[in-house]
Amino acid sequence: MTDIRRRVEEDRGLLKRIQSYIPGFRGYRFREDLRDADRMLRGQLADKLAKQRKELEECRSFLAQHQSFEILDAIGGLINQFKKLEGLVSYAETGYSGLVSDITIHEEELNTLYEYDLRMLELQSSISSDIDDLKRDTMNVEMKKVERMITDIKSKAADFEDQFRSRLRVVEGTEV
Amino acid sequence: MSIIGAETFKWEDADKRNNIMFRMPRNIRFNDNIVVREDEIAVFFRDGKVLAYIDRPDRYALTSINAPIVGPIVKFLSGVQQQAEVIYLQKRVFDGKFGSKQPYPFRDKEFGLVNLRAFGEFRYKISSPANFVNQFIGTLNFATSAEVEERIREQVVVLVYDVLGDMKNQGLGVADIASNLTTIEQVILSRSKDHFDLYGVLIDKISGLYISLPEEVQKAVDTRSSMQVLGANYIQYQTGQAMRDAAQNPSGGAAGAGVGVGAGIGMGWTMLDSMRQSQQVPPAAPPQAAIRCPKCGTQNLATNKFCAECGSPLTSTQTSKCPNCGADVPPRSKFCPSCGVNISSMKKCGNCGAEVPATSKFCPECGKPL
Repeated sequence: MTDIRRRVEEDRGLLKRIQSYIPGFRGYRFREDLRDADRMLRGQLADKLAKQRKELEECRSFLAQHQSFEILDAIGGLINQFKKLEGLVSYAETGYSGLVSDITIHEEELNTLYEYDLRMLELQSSISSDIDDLKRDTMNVEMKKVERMITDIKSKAADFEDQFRSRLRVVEGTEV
Repeated sequence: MSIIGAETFKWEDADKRNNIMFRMPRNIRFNDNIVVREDEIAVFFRDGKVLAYIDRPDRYALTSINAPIVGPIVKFLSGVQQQAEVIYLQKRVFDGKFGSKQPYPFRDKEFGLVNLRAFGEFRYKISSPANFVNQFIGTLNFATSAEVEERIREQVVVLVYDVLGDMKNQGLGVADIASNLTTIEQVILSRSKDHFDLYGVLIDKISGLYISLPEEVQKAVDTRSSMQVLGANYIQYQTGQAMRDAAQNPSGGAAGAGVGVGAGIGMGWTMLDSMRQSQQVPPAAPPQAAIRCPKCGTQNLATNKFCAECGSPLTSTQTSKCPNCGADVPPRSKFCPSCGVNISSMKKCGNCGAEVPATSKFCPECGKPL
């Protein structure tokens, strides 16, 4: 798997290179690059969530066309849950500590944060397989199964959200 | 301001009142301090990226390269000045009100199509600063709680209608709504999560839900509940109501007086009977037989006692036979105008035709009853 951190480091422009040699700027520059790498990774995570949401929207269209209205409410809720996750992942905090903060975030923590977000990508792929099952059941108009799959995916998405929300606490080492 | 240009900022109460968010009006410099209070979240952006959501109360010293020496040098060399900003959000709950602009037609089994209106209050708060900033500040540039509430309000009304529709499918009627308001509130709350989470808003509570019925339907619902208490059917109930109204009528009148003295006990049923009769379609009048005037020959109605033309009395023109001589005898005659026999004292047996006294019960000839 591509390590975005290395790519960001390699592609530093002239000004950034100069900054990385100036005392006081060096740490700032490295941390900023790590955050950028993490932001790019989260961007991919959000894109994958958007793709999964689109697949759910296809299921919704199919159900609407076949007038299976009783499940539309539930699948609509699931789609909204994915929209929320997209926003949460896209605009998450990037691991910042101000001057004289109680808990400081160093480069090591930012690296851990990147790796944490990378693992979230793996967690997300298990949701993808469930969505595939949901699509199949929807096409076969097996409504009982569809209902159960929606509940399962909702539950997994909620787990994903919980884990993502706790990422900084885990990385900072403040999770009790 | 300090020697390096840094300051300590807080969200002033004057700016806070009806605002759910507040953007610091200055580019953040190195070591600018911000105070975050218990009911606030501060979002620190640097170069457009969210660096931190600060939700613990404290004073925070922020960093940026807008530092005293480095900042001006960078700006001089490259023309670049770092953009750093802080947006405050309120953590506390806000109260909003909702109400339906248009009535909602509810198809009820008992009352038919009933127009409902829903009103109530909701409490909300920011549940996810990330989504809230993106949806309301980034996308819509909302700053006041009123603007945010406006966005929420219409969706809550839609949710109320949606819940009512589903509950109707489960058998809820308009007469049951009042006794299920708290249940409806809970269902709305549970469904609101899916609708508002993506905005970073949590609907904390729905309260004071009131679903109003049109006046006439409300009266009918009241009537029905009164009937149930009395164990009466609708007609009995209405009869009783009519009697009560009549008794309370200050202008008196026969009905009131009758009820007052107890003479109107059966009046309800009389009224009921008359109502029933009034509702029945009157039968077509049978064709009336005409009577010919024995004097002038004019045809008169059978009910007339005197001729409409000449004024002569209209009696039956049917003559009878004298039982003695067989001559025609005018109606109501006591004696035969031909033989003078007393007609009223004699009659003829219908079976054998024998002359019998008028007082006889059986014919002395054939024995048949007369």
